Amino acid sequence: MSAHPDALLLARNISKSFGGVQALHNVSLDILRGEIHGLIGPNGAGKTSLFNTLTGLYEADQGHATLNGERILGRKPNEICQLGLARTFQNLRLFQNLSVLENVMIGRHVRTHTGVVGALLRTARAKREEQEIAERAQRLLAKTGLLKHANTLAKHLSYGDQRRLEIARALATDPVLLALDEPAAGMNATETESLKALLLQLRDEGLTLLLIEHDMHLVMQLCNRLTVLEYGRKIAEGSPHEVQNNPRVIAAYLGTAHEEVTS
Amino acid sequence: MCRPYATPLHPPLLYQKPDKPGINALPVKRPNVVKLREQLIPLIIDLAVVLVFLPNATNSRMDIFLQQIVNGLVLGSIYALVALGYTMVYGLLGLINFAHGEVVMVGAMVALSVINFGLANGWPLPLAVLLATASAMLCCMALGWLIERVGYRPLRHAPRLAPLISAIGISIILQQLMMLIWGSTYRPFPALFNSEPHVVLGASITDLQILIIVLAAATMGGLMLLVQRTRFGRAMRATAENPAIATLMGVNTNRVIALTFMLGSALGALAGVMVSANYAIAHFSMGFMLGLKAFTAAVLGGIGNLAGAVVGGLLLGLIEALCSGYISDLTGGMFGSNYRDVFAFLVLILVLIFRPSGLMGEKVAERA
Amino acid sequence: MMLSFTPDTSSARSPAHSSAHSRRNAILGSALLALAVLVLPILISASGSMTWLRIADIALLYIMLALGLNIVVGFAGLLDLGYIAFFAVGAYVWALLSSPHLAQAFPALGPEGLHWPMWVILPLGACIAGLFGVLLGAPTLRLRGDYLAIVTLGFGEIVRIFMNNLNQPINLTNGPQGITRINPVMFGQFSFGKSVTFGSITVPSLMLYYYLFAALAVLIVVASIRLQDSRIGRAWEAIREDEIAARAIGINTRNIKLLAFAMGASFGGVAGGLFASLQGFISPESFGLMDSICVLCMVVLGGMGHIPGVILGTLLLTGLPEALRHWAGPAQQALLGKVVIDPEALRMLLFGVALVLVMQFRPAGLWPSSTRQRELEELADTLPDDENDNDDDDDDDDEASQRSKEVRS
Repeated sequence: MSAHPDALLLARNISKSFGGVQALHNVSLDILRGEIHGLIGPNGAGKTSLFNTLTGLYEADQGHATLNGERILGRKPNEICQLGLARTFQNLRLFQNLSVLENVMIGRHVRTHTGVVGALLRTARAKREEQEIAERAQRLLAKTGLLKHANTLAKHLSYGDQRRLEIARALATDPVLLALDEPAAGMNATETESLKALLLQLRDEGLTLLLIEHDMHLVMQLCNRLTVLEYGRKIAEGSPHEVQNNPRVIAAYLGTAHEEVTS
Repeated sequence: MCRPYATPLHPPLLYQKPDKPGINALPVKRPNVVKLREQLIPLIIDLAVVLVFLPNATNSRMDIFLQQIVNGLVLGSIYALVALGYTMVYGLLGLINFAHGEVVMVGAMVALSVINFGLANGWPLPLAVLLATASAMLCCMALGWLIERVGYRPLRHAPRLAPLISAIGISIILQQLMMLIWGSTYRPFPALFNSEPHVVLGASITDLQILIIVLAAATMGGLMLLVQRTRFGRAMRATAENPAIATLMGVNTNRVIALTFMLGSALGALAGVMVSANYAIAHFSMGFMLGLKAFTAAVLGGIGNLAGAVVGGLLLGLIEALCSGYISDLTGGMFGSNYRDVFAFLVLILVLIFRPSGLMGEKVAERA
Repeated sequence: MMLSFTPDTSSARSPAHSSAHSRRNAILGSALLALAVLVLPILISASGSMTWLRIADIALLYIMLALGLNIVVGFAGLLDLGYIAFFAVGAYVWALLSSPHLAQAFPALGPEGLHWPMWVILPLGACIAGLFGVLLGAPTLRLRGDYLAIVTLGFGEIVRIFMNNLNQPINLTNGPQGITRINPVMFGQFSFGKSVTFGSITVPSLMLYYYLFAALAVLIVVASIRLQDSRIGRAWEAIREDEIAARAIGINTRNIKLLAFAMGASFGGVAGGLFASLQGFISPESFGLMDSICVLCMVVLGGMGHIPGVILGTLLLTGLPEALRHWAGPAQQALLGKVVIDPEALRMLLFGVALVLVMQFRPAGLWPSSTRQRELEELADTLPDDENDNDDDDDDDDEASQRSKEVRS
């Protein structure tokens, strides 16, 4: 497979095993600039493992990956985030006892510089930066529709709002690629609709998105291209239409999931 | 094709798999013999290396070396018994029962009183010892129950440090109460055996020390059987694995937790009697350092892991004994045996740096 | 709440629309507080009690100490049971560099030993303590929760054992006897060790120390508040809440954790140096595990992570036991006609009971942060609300499953 000239993220032959279990087997993935790329597959197909490997939480056994030409595999999660890959978590990992605003402000950490001395002396630079952080966070809250909850504790938000907050927090790190792990899980129809609008808006603003999602409607409507995993291997790749009609994909989703794909 | 994704390392599945019968959700774990072997063999090799080279390296005599091993085993057995109490509670509640050391001390004090009372009233010594140990264990079981009920149960959903502070409070209360009741002086513990020590290869071992090692081993064996083979043991393991699910499966987790506290306290009381008999002394502040060391041992072995507590206890005992015996030779007289504790803690820190979950603890993958 | 200390704190933590009214109240509150702090020693010495003046001095030192630990435990969520070691390091740095002691071991220094000025020793003590903090932090970065607790505890014991035994081969610490004849704080020729007479007013040494300590304590309070409200403080809180998420959004957890250890330790080092100068004598006895635990109790009892709460906890835990020590005996005498329980034992007993009771009724501390408080109120308000209940259940499950990984029989 040759690299697409427009590829933002290039992953090649990534393998990862836990003990004797091969969670990822020679998985390759290209994400093009400005697309919404869907990563789908049955439960346990290795989607989240791929996410964790790309974002540095797991160490890959082999393979390599680059973001904007910079190597990302083998780096620490914070370094990968600094390079511009931000993510959300399937099981929601918010800073529960901090306010919504603070959650997003913490997201600015990686793009700001005030150190202990600046903080202790409250230098002009530190104050200016603090101001910027607060303003930027408020804008992001406005964008995700959370501004009215700015001073609520993160854990007191509704489930859908918590998912949006995770997105806002990830956006605060100024990513070039935003990876979302099941952003619509547990959302009701209205919330899913507004999530969809938000993601499309982000794409139109030039952000590239990688999306794990089980809601096939959403995937088919949102994604420009899809990658399908099963048992840790890539079994298909292409436009939603191509993937939908791929016999291996249909076989993988046989049973309950089959109806979701075709309906 | 097999479905290989149900390992604990994998992030929890969002949806329950339909092919998984509910009853199997009870995580009944058989001891993994292969794994145990894998972990123990390097340990044994290391120990063997130490055993062979240490005496040579220090130009010391074999009998002194053996003597230290005997001392270490006795001390280690006691640590192991106390460490079990820490590790069981930690396994169930994720809580350092800081008051456990004081329970050990109460056990020693109760036993001392009963023995003294018995001897004053002309009971035969074996009967007095037996009754003393039994009453110490009973008292401590009641105490363990009370501590759990009053100090910990109301705090089960409190912030993480609240139970720790509560435990520290209980520990202080117990110490002060015991000091008020039994005074602040060191109390002599009567000699339980008057026979001459046996001399084996130049090292002497008393009947009492043999008894301590054998009794501790038997108790620990019994505990393993209890945990692995009985209904209560299964309930305990299920609660440790996931209290919420265990409750759903019909386990009365509150009772399991209370019983576990009582069990740990009984073991602690036994250890308390042993340690006072071994050093022929009892004191209201004896529990603190002992508890600390035992907790260190539990962490060394991998806290929450019963076998780990035993291994950690024995290892810590041996390290201490050998260090106090050889440290002066090894450092050219620069450090004396008063640095014994430094080595105990240094070993702990080193082990945790290279194996952050202890010698036999499971490696925990970070959840994402 | 935070406002009562610095009226100009950033808007991040306080509600966005703070009115002029509440601002005026805050300024008034700080002024009253400042007045109380200034007048207190005068009132105490007017009552003729030097003991209580000393207790006030010690309480101020404990405030610095507790605020240092609060950075590690309260902000960054790293349970440290050996914190007193940094206090000890600061104290020994001061003692060695400002007493005749080193002359014994190093005759080259001359018969008088070293007597460096405070301007050098105090920052140096803070730095060395901070270095020790990094030394402790570095190997423990990968450890979680209770493993960290036991390692820090071991570290504290190691430091104490070394202090106890480093009287040979070179007599560095003088072992259990400790170091005596430590210099008081000196500003040039002006010594804090002697009382000073201004005209008809005599200011005792302890009161001089009180004002010095109060000034430094205020500095440390301001430093704590500024750190908490900064990018660094938010990073600490992020690590406390969820380390993996913190890493995933770009926080270098290693550096930020080390920074927490270093900052906390340096606060402890400052307090230690001042302690040595106030006492004129130090020995390893003052730096045991019980002292670490005592400081931890102040932090948790008051309200972890909440600066006014920590100060309250410190004042209570230094003041009440001392009060008991003084009044328990006479009170029993008066009520029962004889001393039934040794006042010292009673003091500790009540201390223990207080710890247990406070945790039962206020598990988040006596004065938790406003967010914590708000959360408790909200819980009380919305208890029948299904959503809230579900939230709690989720939390429990999460904790349980996390714990379950550490548990294998």
